[in-house]
Amino acid sequence: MNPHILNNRLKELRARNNLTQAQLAEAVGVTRKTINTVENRVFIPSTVLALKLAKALDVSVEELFSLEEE
Amino acid sequence: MDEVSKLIGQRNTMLFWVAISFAVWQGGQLADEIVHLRGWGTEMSNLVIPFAVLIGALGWVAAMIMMLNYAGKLGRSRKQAVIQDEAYGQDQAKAFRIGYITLIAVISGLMAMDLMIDFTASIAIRILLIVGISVPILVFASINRADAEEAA
Repeated sequence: MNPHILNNRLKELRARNNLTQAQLAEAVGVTRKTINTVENRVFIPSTVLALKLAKALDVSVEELFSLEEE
Repeated sequence: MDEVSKLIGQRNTMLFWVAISFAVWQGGQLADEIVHLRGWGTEMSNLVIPFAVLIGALGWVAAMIMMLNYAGKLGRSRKQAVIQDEAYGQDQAKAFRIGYITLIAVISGLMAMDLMIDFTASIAIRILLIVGISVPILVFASINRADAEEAA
């Protein structure tokens, strides 16, 4: 079992950039549902998508995602 | 509604049609086989079962037309990669996993039933065909619909 939880600040950083889920989804080439599930920690994105999200929000991947031990 | 949402909605509708029409069509054939094997035929069953088979078969034809139409639209769309993104792959894998577990459970159930009831291989194969095709498709469409509603 994975003892880590992947935290993210996607919602906060998206709001700071005045982007809707749909706009961010469009920018990184995924569906709005994918953004929603990442924000709600239902879906863990691939490295490629994590890098794309970080780039779209103009932050580093570490600022966007962090590991929390259970 | 944007193009991506429209195509996802259309995909879900098509998948529900595919799964349900196939289950009705093959379920009717299955009922027909069981009725004949057991000698349970009545006037009512002789009317209802062929009707269910016909409705299911027509629904299946309609579902195939919907599928061709959807494939054409998806092929022409520049949003194909967006619609089939990472979350789509994860949902697909989850649906296959649930379908596989269900299939194994049904096979186990059929093996147990075989000790108590006589049934033909054709009946068993038809049950497995219905479960193997309809369950993963229905699970995938259900996950997608629930997520789409949550995201909306």
